[in-house]
Amino acid sequence: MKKVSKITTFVIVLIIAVLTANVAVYAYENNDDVYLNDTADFLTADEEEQLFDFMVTTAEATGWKIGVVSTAEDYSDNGVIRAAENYFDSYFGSSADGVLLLMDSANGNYVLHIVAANGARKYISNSDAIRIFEHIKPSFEAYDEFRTAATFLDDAINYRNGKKLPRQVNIEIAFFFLIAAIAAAAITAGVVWHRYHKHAKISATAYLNKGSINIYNRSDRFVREYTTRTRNSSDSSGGGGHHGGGSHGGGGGRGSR
Amino acid sequence: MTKCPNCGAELRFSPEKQKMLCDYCASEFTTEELAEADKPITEAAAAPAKSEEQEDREKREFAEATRVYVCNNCGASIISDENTAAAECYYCHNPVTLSGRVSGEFRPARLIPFKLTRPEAEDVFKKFIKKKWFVPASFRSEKQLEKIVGLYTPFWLTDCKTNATVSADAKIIHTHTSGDYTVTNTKVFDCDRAAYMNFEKIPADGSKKLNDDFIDAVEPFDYKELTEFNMNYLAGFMADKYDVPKTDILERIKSRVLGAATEVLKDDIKGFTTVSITHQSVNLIRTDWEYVMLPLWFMTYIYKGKIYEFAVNGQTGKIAGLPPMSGGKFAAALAIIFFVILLIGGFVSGFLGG
Ligand SMILES: [Zn+2]
Ligand SMILES: [Zn+2]
Repeated sequence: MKKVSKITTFVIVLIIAVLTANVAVYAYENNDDVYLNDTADFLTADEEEQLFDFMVTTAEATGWKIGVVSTAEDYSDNGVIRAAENYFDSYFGSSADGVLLLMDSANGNYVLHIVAANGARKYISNSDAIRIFEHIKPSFEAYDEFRTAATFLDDAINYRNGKKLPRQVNIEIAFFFLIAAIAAAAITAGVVWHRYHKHAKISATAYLNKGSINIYNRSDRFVREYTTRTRNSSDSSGGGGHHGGGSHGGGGGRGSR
Repeated sequence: MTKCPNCGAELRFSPEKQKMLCDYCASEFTTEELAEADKPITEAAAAPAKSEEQEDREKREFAEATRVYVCNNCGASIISDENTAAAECYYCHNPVTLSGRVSGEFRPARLIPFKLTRPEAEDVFKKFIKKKWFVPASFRSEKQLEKIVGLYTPFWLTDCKTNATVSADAKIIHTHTSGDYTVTNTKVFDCDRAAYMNFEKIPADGSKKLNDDFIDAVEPFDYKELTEFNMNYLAGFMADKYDVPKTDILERIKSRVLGAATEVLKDDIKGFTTVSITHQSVNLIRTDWEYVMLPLWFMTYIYKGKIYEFAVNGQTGKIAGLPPMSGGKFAAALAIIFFVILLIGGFVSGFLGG
């Protein structure tokens, strides 16, 4: 085992050395299988180069078309889905198998959208895409677009090999349902028990002769008056700069046609 | 001497309370209440009084034409006509023994005849039980229905005049916004209401054996069908002999009218944002009684040593009764509800699922 890890280390060191040496010399070039388009200029030239290589590796490992696009368009919810699909279709064609990641940032909002098309859908379902989205979101929120895309590529390879991401467990929601289950059982128990142990109460109002009511004393005495003032809580929400604000967007898939 | 308008006993003045007291039925009256009690409760004139002679004859006839059977196990006294032999106690299903005749005072002046036949009553019961999920399976068996008995049940119909009072804490609340502040202005009032009001023909069963809440639950009866008693109505049915004297139900009547009277007086406190009752009371200042028999299809079921009673109103078909609950079915239902919600929660939160 020790030997193996030594070799791995060596290989990584070598690759990094080669990349560093050739930074200025080679610009990447999109091909039939790989499409990288950093319109929003999120990535440095180095990062682009490195990411492109990783995309090529990913395309080879998965047999899928691999796309990564960045924009600064401020899409609407549906707009981002259409945009991501358009990028995929116009570059790879609408019948290609593959995945595409769209990263968008404009006006303080950001959008991530994942397209899994045709054959890739068998490996990445809608809920899988959402899981990948949740997985890469923290990097994107930390303004690390390179890591976002790299993680996305990692995940694509894993899913292609049948290795799914572990489920995200929301403890708060689980706890809420536990309390809800206890409450529902307790309320049901109370209602049912009451039905089997207590008779329906019949009011005596039915026997009242309404015409006989003779109210002979009616007094409303004023006692006191008081006034209270409570300050209204003013809600101020902080605005965000680049990438700030709330999460927007999500993962999605597309059926084969 | 003034007689107690609730029970007829003689009143005595209490210097401490400055009220007239009845030592027999524990009623209390102010002078104003006694004056009010002089007025009759119902406007309609009472039925033309029968001559004493006629009443005596009717009582004698009743005594001669009826038999009383006594249950040695639970003490129930069952009245039947001379041609209808009672073999089994309607309440505990033990054999009964003939104990002779009943005295004429148990002859009711009026009754409501049975309208619902036995098969109709059985149907009501079957439908009722079908809707109860948690009864033990053995409870649904037809056998139980063999024990259903048409029982003329003794009731005291009570007309009463009441003096009711309530005190309440009432508030008028205004809220407006002023700049960053919400300003709430509250005006507090002490409200008192007092009224005389009459209740008519409140039924209360005269049988110690029958649970009061249970019998109340088959109300109402339609009193328009009250008819003069006639021995012929008894043929084929049983009747229960009352063992609760009328004065013993005063407290029960009082607690029943308190809620209704308070409701009336609370509704009269108008124009406030909130009204909360701080004190409520009702005094019965005059009570008139009528002893009648009302029709009930009656059934008891002994399950694990406990008696379960069911009654179907023999006039309207309304049913009352609390069936036994199967602990197993109950626990299973709760477990299902609990785990289904937990399962949904498991999927939603991500504990489960693909
Ligand atoms: Zn009295
Ligand atoms: Zn008995």
